[in-house]
Parts: sequence; C-alpha cells; structure tokens
Amino acid sequence: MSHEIVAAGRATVVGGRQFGVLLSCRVMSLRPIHWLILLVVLDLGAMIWLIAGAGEEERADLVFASNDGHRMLDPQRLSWNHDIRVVELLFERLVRMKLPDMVVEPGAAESWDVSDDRRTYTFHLRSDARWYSAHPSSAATRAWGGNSPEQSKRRADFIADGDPVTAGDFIYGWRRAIMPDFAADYSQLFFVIEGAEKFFNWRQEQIASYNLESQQKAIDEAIENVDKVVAAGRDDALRQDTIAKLTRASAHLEYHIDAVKDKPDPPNPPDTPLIAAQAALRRAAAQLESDKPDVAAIRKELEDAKGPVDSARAVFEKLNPMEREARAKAWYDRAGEEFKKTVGVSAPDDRTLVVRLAQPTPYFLELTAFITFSPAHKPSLEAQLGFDGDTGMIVQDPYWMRADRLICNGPYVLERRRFRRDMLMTANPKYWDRANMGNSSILELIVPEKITQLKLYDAGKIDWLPDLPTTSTTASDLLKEQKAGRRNDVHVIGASGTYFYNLNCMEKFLDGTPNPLHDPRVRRALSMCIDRDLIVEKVASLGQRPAYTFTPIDALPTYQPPVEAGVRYDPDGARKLLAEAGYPGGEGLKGIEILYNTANEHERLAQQIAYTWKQELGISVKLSGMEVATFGERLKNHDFVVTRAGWFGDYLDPTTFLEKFQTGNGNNDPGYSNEQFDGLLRQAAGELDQTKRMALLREAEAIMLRDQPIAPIYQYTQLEVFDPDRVKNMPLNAWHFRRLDRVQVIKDQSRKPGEPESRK
Amino acid sequence: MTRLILWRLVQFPVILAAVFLITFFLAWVMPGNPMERPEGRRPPIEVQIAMKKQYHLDNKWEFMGTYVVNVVTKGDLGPSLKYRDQRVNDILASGLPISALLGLLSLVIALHLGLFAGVVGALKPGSLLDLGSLTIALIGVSLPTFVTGTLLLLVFAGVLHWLPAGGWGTAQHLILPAVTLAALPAAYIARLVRLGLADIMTSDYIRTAMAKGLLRREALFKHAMKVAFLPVLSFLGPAAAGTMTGSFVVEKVFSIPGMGDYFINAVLSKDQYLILGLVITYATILVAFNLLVDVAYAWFDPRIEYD
Repeated sequence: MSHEIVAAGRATVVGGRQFGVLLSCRVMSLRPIHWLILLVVLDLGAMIWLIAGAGEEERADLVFASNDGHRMLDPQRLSWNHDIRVVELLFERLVRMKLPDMVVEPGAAESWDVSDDRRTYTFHLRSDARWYSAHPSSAATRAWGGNSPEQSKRRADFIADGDPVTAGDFIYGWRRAIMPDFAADYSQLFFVIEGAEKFFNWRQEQIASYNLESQQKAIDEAIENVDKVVAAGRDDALRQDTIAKLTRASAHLEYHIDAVKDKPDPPNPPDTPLIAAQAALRRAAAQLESDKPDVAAIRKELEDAKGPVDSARAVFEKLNPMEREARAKAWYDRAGEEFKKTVGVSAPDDRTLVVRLAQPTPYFLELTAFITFSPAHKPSLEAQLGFDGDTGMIVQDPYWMRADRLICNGPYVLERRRFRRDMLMTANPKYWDRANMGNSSILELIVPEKITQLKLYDAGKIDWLPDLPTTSTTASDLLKEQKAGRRNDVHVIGASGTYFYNLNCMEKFLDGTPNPLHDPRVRRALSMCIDRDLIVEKVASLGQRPAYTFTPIDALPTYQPPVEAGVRYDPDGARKLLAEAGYPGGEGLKGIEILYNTANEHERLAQQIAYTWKQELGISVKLSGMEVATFGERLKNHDFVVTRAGWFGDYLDPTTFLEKFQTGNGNNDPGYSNEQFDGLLRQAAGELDQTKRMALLREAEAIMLRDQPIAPIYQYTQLEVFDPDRVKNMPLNAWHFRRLDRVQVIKDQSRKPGEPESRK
Repeated sequence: MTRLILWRLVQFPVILAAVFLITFFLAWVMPGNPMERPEGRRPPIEVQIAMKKQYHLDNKWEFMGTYVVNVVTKGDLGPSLKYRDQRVNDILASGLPISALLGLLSLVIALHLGLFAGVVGALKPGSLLDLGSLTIALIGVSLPTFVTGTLLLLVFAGVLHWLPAGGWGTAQHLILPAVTLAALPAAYIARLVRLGLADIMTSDYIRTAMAKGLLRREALFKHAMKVAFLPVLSFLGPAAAGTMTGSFVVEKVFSIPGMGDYFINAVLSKDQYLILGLVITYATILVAFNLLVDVAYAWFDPRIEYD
C-alpha cells in the first residue's frame, strides 16, 4: 500500500519538486491504518459518484432486444430474421404487407396493373416517396462528392427535400440482388422475373471466365491427358469431363472477345486470335465427341488454342492493380448492358416500373413485399462501389450502411448504430405516410443473455422481447407463470417453419458404401418410430404442434397440407416395413448415425429418437454432435445418414417449402429425386388457376411424404414477451411480418423509471 | 534496463510471428466452412467458389501472403466472415475500448480489495478479520464468474433495483461487471499478499528492524510490503492482458458489447480473419504488459538486473 503512495510522491517530484517533497513528508507522517481507511472512503466515494453521477439517455418509444449483433444489413444480401427485422424499417418496397390480414397494400407504389396473361405488372410509384437520411449532410457528401455546381446543387436539394424514389432505384436494387457477385442468399427469388436467371448465369460465367485461369487450366490438362482421354471410351467420365471443360472454356472466351470488341487498344488482347482459339477448342471438343477421335488433330487444335489463351492470360497477368480494376469495371458496365437486354424490368419513366415475369406467378405481389425487393439509392451506392481486379467481382464498401452515410426510403432512418450494442432508428421526416406511424423512435438493444433480457424487461427498459429462445427453461418457466395466471405478457405463436430430420436418399454414401436409406421403406420405417407426441410434450415442451407434413399447418391461407399422407407413429408397421426391406428386427442395418449441431435441445431430441429406434426397431444409433460450421458443411455435401434440420418459409406460397425437394435444388440436402414430384411442381408453375395449382402442389407434397426424404417432427413456435396493455398493434403471425411502424407503445406516466413492470 | 527493453522489442515480432503461424494453421485445419450455415438457403456453387476466392479462402499460402501484406502495410486485419459488413478492425475498435475500460476498472478494484484484505490479514494474523478475509478470498477464488455475476445481477438489479441489469453506456453499467471480474484477481492478490507478508514478517531482517524499535506495522509497510508486492506484480501482467481483452462469461451475463464474446464465437463460426485478428491483438497486449511488469520489477527491486 505504501508503495502506491510513495510512487505518487515520486511522480510529483518530477512535476514540481517542492510540492512533491511536501507530499512525501505528509505521506510518511500518516499512519498506515489511516491510509487504509482513506482508501476505503475513496473507493466508496467513487462508487457513489458512479451510481449517482451518471445520467441516462432519453428512452426511445419502442425498445426491443435482439440476441446477437447483425450479420449484415445490406437489404439485398441479408437473410437472417433479426437483420430483416430492422432493415425493413429503413427501406420501403413497392407494396407493404397489411396486418393482421396479410394482404398487400400500396407502399412506394400507389397502384399497379396486371396484364391479362398475368405476366406483366406495371407499378405506378407515388410522387411523394423520398430518399432521406438521419444525417442528410454527411450522407449527401458521400453520394455527390464532387465540387461542381451541379453536385453541390444535388447535395443542397437532398438536404432540403430528399431525393425522389424512382423506378430506376428499384431496378438498381433488384439488379444488385440478382448479381451473383454478392452471393446473396435470395437471388433465386428474382428468377420469377423474365431473364433474371439467364442474366444471373451470364454474369456468373462472365466472372468465371474473367482471369482466364480456368480456361488455361482446361487446355493444359487436355493437352497433357489427350492420349488417355482418347483411349477411354466415349462414355467414360474422364472423356465427358474433358469435353465439358473444353466446351466451357470455348464459351468463356466469348466474354473476352466481347470485352475487347470495341476496344482494340492495349492492354486488351486483340480479339482475332481469341476467335480462332475459340473455334479450335470447339473443334477439339467435337473430335472428342466423335466415335474415332484423331489424337494428332486434337493435339494440334489444342496447341492452336493454347497460344492465344496463354498470351491473353499473360496480358492480364501484366496488368497493374489499377488497370485490373478498370478492367473489372468495364466488365461490370458490360453486365449492366446485358441486364438491360435480358431482364424483364424497365422504367418507361421515373414513376413507372414494368415487370415482365417468366411465367404467371400468383404470389409475385407478396414477393415484392419481401426485403430483398427493396430499392437502392443508386448515386450513393455507386459512389461506394469498388471492383476486385483479381476476380472481376464488384465489391460494395461495407460502410455504406453506416448511419452517417445511409440513405433510406422507409418509415425510419438510421440515427445511430453501434456494432453489437444497439441501433437507433428515428422517424423519417420525409416519409409519405408519416401521419400513420405509431412510434417516432425505435431502439434495438443487443442483449445476448436471455436472463438479462428478462431483467431489463422487468425493469421497464425494454418493451418487447421477440428473440427468447423457445427451447430454454426460461421460456417454459415463463409459460408456467402465464398458465398460473401470474402474467399475461407471454405470447406463443405457431411459426411458418418445420423441425425435421433429413434422411439421406442417395444411392451411396460419400465414401462409396451403399446407403440402406436409399430404400424408401427404410426411411418410412425410421419415421414411423418417431413418437412426435411424446417429443412435443417432453422434449420440446413449448406448445409445439407435432408435424406430419413439411408445410406447416395454418401458415398459408390458401393451402391445406396433405396431413393424411403423413407418417404416423406405428412401431408394428415400421418393423414390418424393415423386414420387407431386408432388415428383419433391424438386423444388418448398421452405421445409422444422427448428426446435429450442439445447440438448444437438438441433443435431447436425438437421444429420444435413438432410444425409440433401438427399442422398437433394434437399430443401434450413433449420436454425433458438432459445431455449426462443420455441421453445415456435412449437410451440404450430403455427408450424413440422418441429420436434424429446420426450414422456414420465405413467402406466402407452398413452393417456398416444396421447391427444396426438386431434383438438384441447392437446398435439397437429403438428395431426393422423384420425377413425378418434379413434374407436378413444373405443372403447378404453369397453372393459372389458383385452386388447381394448390391441388397440384398438395399432390406433390403427398408424393414427397410417401417417400419420406425427411421425417417432419414438429412445427416451430415462436415466443415473444410484451405487455398487451402497453404495446398496441403488435402483429402476431407465423411469418415474421412485423410492421413495427404501426406498433404503438402507450407511455406509462405513473411508473417511475426503474420501477418494475406491474404484472397482471 | 534499456537493454532489457530493446531486447524485448527485438523478441516482439518473433513472438508475434510464431503466434500468428500457429493460429493460422490451427484455424486453417479446423473443419467447417465459414460460408456455410445449417439453416436456410445457400448460394449456387460457382458463387461460393468466387466468394472464397475473393476472401482468399481457397489457398492457404495466398491467404497468408495477402493477410500478412495487408496487416503490415495497411494495418488492415481483413473482413469478418460472420459479420459481413464489418471489418476486423471495426470489431476490435468497437469492442476493445469497452473491454479495456472494464478490465482496467476491475483490476483497480481487485488491487484495492486484494491489498486491503491481504494487509489486514497480515497485520493481525489469526484474528477474526484475517480469517474472514481469507474465507472471502477462498470463496472469490472458487466461485466461477457466471455464479458471482448472476448472483450480483439478481441482488442489485433484480431485487434492489440499484443498478441496471445489463447493457453499456453509463457509468452505472460498469459497476456490476467490474466487481464480478474483480472477484477472482482480488482474492488471488489477497492470498498472495497475505501469504507473502506472513512469510517475510518472520524473516531475519524484519526481526532485526523490529528489534531496533520499529513497530510491527511500520516494518510491514516500510520493508516487507516491497517484497511481498513482487508476486502480485508478476500476476498483474497476464491478468491485465486477460481482463482487458474481455471475459466471455461476464460480457455475456451483463450484455456488454466488448471483445470477450468473439474469442469463443469467432472459433465457432470459423471466422478466420477474426480469429487471427483477436489472437494477434491479445498476443500484442500480453507481450506489452509483460514488458511493463519487467520494467516495474526492476524499479521495485533494484537487486534485479537483466542481462
């Protein structure tokens, strides 16, 4: 203790000798116990100062808690529920979801017409829709940075009136989402638009061909292996693979020829040799396709192609980073032209948006209410766009969504965002529907721990807890209290999602061993031995509904899932099926493993199921828990026997659930493939009559359920906590449709800050 | 002293490079794919490949090369793979000051409490006060922080409503987490001081000093304390680096947007850039504090020479 004091004395000696010496003397004359007392007094004093001295910020109208920091706030790229929840306040789509009816109402578009063939939608944008920012001056500087009088006028106009929302902004936003560059989770939603998928693939190929690496590799490999390839039979995998690669390389050269067509100057390679190389590659591939390929001729064609490709690659290699970026930008501009040419969206004028669909899509309007269909403010985004010169992809400056830069058109603007801490949104002063808004500010607090969330809620610091995990003991405790009548603020809602088990349908496992689950009888038998009632009651225990179909019940207004086709708990039937499949009493059925990520109640559920399978079917089951990243990787690679999984619908149509089971769908984890099912889905896609279409989809789901590529277990529920007497207009539905702009929090004047919420 | 500092400064990049290499390879061989997630839709395979290329995740040497170049030339620790609109630098810039402030405060509290308890015990060994402080210290050492934290939370926020239950922003938010974090080092320091003093107070030079008429407490403060403080000092270096880079449990319990959470979650989500950034930051702070401790040691105990 004395050392601290001596040290203090010494330090002051440096500052002022006189004072220091004085201090040291006084220090020494005090008795140690006095020092201790003084120290305690100081500590207490500091504590009191801390407690009393600090003021508190003004409370936002609506405060809610989220569990984790935001992954990404880019409206075209995000996909997590807690990200969508806040971002949809900042951007307004053409239409909004009216709640609780769940029908669309005008948003940025005040009206729309649909053509007779149901394929062309013409949206008429309202004249008073505006882009604005919580920090208009700094945001304007970012968007229109130049010193020219024109730019400064744009800035001044924006600060005064905001920027009108145009049809072009929607096209720009949608284009961002369709561009494969961002690897947006929801690009595919746009494929209902004519040409969108084509453009997506075009841009993807353009990027794939960008640095010529893969083409060069394909040619080199082919030259090296030409003898082997020719010796192999025509249907041999190696030969087919080589043909595919050469064809692809030839096609890829098109993008280079295209890129230099109007720009003969260096550093672009001239296009004539590339055209020749392209033809040579095509001829080589054709030779390989033939019955008797000529090795020498193929080799010569490949050598002919190699020269120009190598030199084009060399030209690319020699580019400096600036030149590469310029090149990536040129390719991006070219993609913009291609978009205009291919994709069925156009803007005859600033307030008219015409969308041409690939085929009639009955849920298209609902789709445009979804966050990915947000418009994007072109000037500010283009000003913050970069290019990756090495891959040719565009790179958006991730800071564009910082509060001081973000320009939004939604009911709220972003006042402040502190990463993994909070996000404050205030009413957009330029919003056209300002008069009908319930709150002038919304604060999101990031509170990872649920007990803390509840404590803050009880203390009146938080109005709404939307993220309480439904599988925790906290949740079931809350529910018990509610049942006992001690509280009325717990709300349990059936969600538009299903908890299920994937049952691998592939013929063979990844390691080449045969998969017993390839036989639908085995999958059905396993599914028959899942006691869903018991699981819902004892394991999940939060009012979940046992699921027999993949599409949740009551989540879709126009679709009734084929419950009768579902598999019921029937151990006797299961044993019979297993015996039929050649595994009487479970004999010979080995290596069954349940994979799950170690979180929530997945493990207990897996134990329960494994126990039933052992008891009823005599199968030993291995349980493998792992962390999420590894789990996801194995899921994607079909590297499993049985896994847990969950799926939530995105839009108000059963296809959001059923498409997953189409052959080759990127989310078809069990590797299911059934021609009849695919056919029905295709047929439904072309069906204009909603009732008939739903019947077709229902039939398709019944077929899928007969094959049981998945075993549905229960329909998810979600649990929210808010005081129904204080928080008004809070919509509760299966779809996370929120409309927080209409929620109203009644301010309780009688309650002092810090006083616990009264519980009824 | 100068030589010591210079020598340490020379060691510094070597240590960092070693830490970097080990972390890099561990993070690389870790199974899993940061672009992947168990629920929901995934982008097409070509896009995933292109993304991997953009993030330099398809070749470890390329990754390492660009990473080192960016860190050395621009001080840029790269993008976060989990929080896609943040860069690791941003994450550290938002989390580190919070964790550092909290850690510093908790260390100050720990020093006060620990020294107080230790000295009181040593002044009157065997007294009720001594037994009491040792018991509390024992409890402090044995109770895990999530128990202390939750307990404090329930009492001060839940029952008494004196302090906020969690969050960050005002000074009040600091108190409970700082005390929770301080519990363990305080108990540790108390024991170190108490045992050290008890040991030294029976040594010959103290007996001599007291024979010359020095009071027990004078001898304790003037002579014994200097020596007894040395183990505390060596404890403080790593403890400071540890507390100031955040505690997973305390930050989670009190919802503090610090750095502690990332040490676990970056690994779970295989966010390679974040893992590397965290480890490098932590290593830098640790090495720096150890250097400070060495310097302080020499200052405290002139007998110590570094050659």
